[in-house]
Amino acid sequence: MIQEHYFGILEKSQAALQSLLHDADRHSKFMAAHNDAGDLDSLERLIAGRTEANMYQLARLEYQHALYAAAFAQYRQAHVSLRLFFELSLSGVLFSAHEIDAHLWLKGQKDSNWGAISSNETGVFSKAFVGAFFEDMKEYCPQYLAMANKVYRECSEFVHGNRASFEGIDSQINFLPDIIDSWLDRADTIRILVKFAFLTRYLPHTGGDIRNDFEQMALENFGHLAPIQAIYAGDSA
Amino acid sequence: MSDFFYRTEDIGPKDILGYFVETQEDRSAIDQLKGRNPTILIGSRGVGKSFLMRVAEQELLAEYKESGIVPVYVTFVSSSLLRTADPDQFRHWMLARLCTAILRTVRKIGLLATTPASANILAGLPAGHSDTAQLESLVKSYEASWKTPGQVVDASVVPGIEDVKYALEDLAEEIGISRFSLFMDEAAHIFLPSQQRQFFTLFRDLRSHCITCNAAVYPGVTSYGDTFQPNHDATMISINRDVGATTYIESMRRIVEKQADSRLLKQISKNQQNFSILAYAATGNPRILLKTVFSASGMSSLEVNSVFRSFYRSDIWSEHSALSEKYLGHAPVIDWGRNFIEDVVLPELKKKNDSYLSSERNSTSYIWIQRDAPESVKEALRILCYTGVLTEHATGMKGTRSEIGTRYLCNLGCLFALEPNPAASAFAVAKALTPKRMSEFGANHASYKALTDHEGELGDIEEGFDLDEQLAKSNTVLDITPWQLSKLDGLGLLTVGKVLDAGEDKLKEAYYVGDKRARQMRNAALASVLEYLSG
Repeated sequence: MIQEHYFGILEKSQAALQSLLHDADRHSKFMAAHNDAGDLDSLERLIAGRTEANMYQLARLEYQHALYAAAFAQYRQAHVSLRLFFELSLSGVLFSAHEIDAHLWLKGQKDSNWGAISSNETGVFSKAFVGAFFEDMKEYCPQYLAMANKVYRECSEFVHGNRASFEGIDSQINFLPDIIDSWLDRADTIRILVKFAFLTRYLPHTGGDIRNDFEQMALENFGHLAPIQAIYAGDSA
Repeated sequence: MSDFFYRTEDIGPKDILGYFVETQEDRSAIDQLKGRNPTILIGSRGVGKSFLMRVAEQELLAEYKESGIVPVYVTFVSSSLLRTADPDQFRHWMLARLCTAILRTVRKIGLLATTPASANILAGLPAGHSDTAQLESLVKSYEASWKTPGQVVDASVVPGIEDVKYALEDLAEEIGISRFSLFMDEAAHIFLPSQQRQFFTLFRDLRSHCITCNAAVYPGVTSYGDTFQPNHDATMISINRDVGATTYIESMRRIVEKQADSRLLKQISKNQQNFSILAYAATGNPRILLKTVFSASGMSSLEVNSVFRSFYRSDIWSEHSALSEKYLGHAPVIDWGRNFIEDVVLPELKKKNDSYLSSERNSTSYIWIQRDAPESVKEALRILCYTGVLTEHATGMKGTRSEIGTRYLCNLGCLFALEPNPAASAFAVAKALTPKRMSEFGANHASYKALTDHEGELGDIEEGFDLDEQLAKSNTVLDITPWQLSKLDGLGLLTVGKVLDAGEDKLKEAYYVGDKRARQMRNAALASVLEYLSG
């Protein structure tokens, strides 16, 4: 009995995945979100050996969970995991400047906290924080901070089950083009923000080899920002 | 997709501060509004007059206990609906509105006790008795007069202006406050000089140690009546956001940021230059910015170019030309204004910029008009300022031959729209702008002739417009988002008149979301109707 019940759900999930794969446009967007996990993995090279590396590993696992849930039309869960990935990754970046917190977190004595991450004075997108590690990038912080707050808030609607987050999601497991579109969009925004936080925090302080390894990612995502151009223009000249 | 608020009226007063993006000029305007001296804000549609007044109101409200200053906000936007047989209807109506607004405010913040109508029975009064009921019903019958024009309204309950003044002084003393700060929005109808005169006379007459009048008006309001003297009786502040300021793009971006979702913010951060082009094109007008950003939410060059094609080449002008349909007497002036800008000014500016930029010199979007230009030409320029196609930049400027005139900034979006590919070339024009370069038009420029030849026909300009005709127009003339429009269609409210006539409940039907949102949407629909009717 119970077997039938859950196999039934599995079937519905499978059908949802099939629909996603047959929708050419969304299929390719989903694939991009899947493939970009590679970029996220490579960010680890920037923090190899540091205390927060452990945190980031767990964060990326959450990103995989998010993809998994999105593929099978578990849209609320997909947003929950996406937000957790976002928060843990940025928390790691924040703790990199307060190593004691990273250690306390590993011991389970410290929580990650969105208020601290997004603080206008001391958070990872604050001018003080970014300016400390990558002076020229600080003028771009306010827009990335605004973006981070917005996307965090949008995901939180699903976490807290706000009324709006129920709109369009029906009780059944079904492929829903509109919802997956906005999830894909948010996932894309969050990956950009995580890359921004990592690159501004660590890039200026890494050796030439590693820095060159990130040339493509940096220019692809932030090539329109002069300080990033300057980093790589110097190398090629 | 983000659903933007185009109008201050759509945002609840309490939420105002959450949407406020402060610039230095805004701050000094707000401080001026909060101060003791009467202030008049001047600005074209959508530059943020109502917004600044609301911010000043909220800030005063937050500190009234210490300062003893009570802010009262009242809007006269429904003045275009007054159609009674009372020749002084506008003055009576303004006074009645002011009195009820003041009483409502002091009661709401708990300075004056009210007796609930139900408690009157205990006191031996009729159940429905209330001391403001008469005034309120008077206001209502004035505002409903568009349904039955020409009816007689008994205005005997409206107190005289001196009585109001003394009553307010007594009231202030009684409740222990030092003064009332009145914020009168949409104060003087641009095409009704008689209303302008009555308003400014009231403004002047209300002057007292315990009343500060502040008002928001459109540029081009010039009939001040016999007693009011601009600059002497009030500080006049023009709201212009300086497109040349280094913080301009940043502050325009922050305005959008307050309302955008994460997707739009991402697109903006990826396509900064395209956003900058739209921000410059809006020429400091937040409403135009929000509207154009909304329609180019992908921020691609393709979308930006299409904004120039559809909005700056067509929509902005159809709004201007719609005025000539409503105010038939003004049609020649309104139409000439459009032709002047489209056929003479813009092509000349474009030609100059092409040559300036090819030799790496500064660009221009400024024109200068000699002060002795014909009155009808000046009238046309005033209307262009009203719709935001022109912005007065400096008066009393010397031109090349030491003559005196006024410098105007031409809407940058209209200028960019002449570029074959604005997304590619407009940014260079905007970055190189300088007010030092301007195209000059003397007192007798050849292009004026088309207008001055018809001056004889302008003699008998009628005030107002045929209301019935306007009410029969389709709801598509209203300036609302496509989503809002679809809701009106769904309710069968297909004409302006039907939207105006629809009760609160009817409009709420469409939005079975929260009450708060329902009210916002209802306000949006009504505000757009009133704005459409007021020109």
